[in-house]
Amino acid sequence: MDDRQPGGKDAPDERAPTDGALVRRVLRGDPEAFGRLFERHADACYRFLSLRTGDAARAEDLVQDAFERALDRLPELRQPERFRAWLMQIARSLLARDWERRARQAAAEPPVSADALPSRTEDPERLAEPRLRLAALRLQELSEREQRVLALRFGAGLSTREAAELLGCSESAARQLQYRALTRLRALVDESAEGDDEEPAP
Amino acid sequence: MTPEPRPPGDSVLDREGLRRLLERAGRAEGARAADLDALVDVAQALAETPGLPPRRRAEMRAGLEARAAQRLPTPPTGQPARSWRAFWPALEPRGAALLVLLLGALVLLGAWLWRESRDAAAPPSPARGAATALRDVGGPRAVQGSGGTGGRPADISSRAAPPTSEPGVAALPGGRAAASGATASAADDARVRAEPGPEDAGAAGVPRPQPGATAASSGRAPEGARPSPTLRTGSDAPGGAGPRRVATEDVAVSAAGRDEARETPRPSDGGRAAPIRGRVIDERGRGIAGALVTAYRDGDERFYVQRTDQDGAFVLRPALGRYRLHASASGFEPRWWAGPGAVSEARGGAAELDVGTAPLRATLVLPAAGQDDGERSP
Repeated sequence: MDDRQPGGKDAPDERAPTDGALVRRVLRGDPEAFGRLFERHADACYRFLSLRTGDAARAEDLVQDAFERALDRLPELRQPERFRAWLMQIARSLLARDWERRARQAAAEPPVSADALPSRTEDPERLAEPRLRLAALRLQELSEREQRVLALRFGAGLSTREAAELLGCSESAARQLQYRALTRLRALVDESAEGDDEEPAP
Repeated sequence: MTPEPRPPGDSVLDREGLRRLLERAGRAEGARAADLDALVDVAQALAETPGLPPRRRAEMRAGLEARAAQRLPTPPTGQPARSWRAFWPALEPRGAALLVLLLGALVLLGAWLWRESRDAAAPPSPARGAATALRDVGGPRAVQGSGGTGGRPADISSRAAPPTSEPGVAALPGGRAAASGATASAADDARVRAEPGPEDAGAAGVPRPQPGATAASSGRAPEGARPSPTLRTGSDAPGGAGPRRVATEDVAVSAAGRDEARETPRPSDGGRAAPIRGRVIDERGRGIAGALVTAYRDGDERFYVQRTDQDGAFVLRPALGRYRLHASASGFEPRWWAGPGAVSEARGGAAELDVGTAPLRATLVLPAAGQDDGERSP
């Protein structure tokens, strides 16, 4: 059964099976259902990881690892409808482990470069949006918790409640944290934009 | 590969919803509308971070599906495989509790059925009680009987028999049970006195045995064989007495006190029988505690067993009939009652006790083990 929209439009489909239904199908031995779960959540997972790492290649590897681990642990998932939040938890855990491994290698995290950030080469017009790249770039300058809330909310597309659960705080605390993080990020983006404007023309 | 559509509520940024949310969060800080719009723009920029490159996505999906096909259970043809884990959430917590209760009930039912079937197959039979008694007496001195043919090894069967109202008494098949053991003559040191009446003459001054005075043997003791009565229920008793079940719990205990409470002769085999009371004593007249006293009925396969109490006293309540009485105890030679004041080493020398409505008394004197041979030696 293919519930994709004709032409691949990114519109919700009421007939699409829920995550829980897909998880149950996977547990019954349907590998294609896991492929559909991947299609459904790969972008969210990738955005979350790319925002957190600022490294496209590393984010891709971590996405692969996250889905492989999810497949291995799928029988342990007690609430199949919450597959995405569970997947982000796995991704976050893998990311923390990745950072630890890199720290052990005594290699400081290389500074994020604009080239390392994901880009939509298939959509060159996007490259013309400096604010988009600036926001992603300056995200790394926020605190760890602020980065996490923004990556979970706008990268992974989780609801405030789901993000709050993963952050280990109340929903209202997550809302406040989100507000502060966006305010700081906006200030950083504005600061960068002003600096660019002040550069003398060659 | 084209991405699948996002399910409802997914991360396509709801600008209005986010704006309201930020407005609520920034109300305390006096956030202006322009500020809120700028924050939404920043959030939108983050949400529009490019997704996984399409080529990489296709590779990953193919690899993950192949991995899933390897790792996940393969459903049999035409029948999807089901993992119990998929059902578990539907079971808990109420369903799980119900399941546990159901399993517990099944276990109890199984245990009850097993017990019932065991009881039906092997009811508490005199054989078991007698076996207990024999174990308690212990060793070679245990009273044993031999079924009719004499000299046959003890046959402890567990054939079904109906209950009797007479606990503490074991029915003995083998009225012809042969006593044995014995190479010695009936005239020995054992003294027995049996006399109707309430009084027990005691052991002191018991007259010498009178060989053959009242003895009427119904069986022949194989020489050299230890007494080994066949312990069977009355189901195969000759004489048409019908099957009987014997309560056995009293057999293995010194139950004289308990028996005293059941003084009334019980109807059995169509008549009322008075008990046989008596003592088992040593040659000095001291009661032998824990001695096993057995009454073997002539003419069928029944026997009744009782242990003596601390004073060596016993009370047997056999059914009507004629009986031969046997006593044994650890450290003493077994003897048959051979009439008032007399005992016999062999069943052939035993006297019959006519159990009727009149109470009987019998005293059996057991010589200490190992004395007979010396005394009989020329």
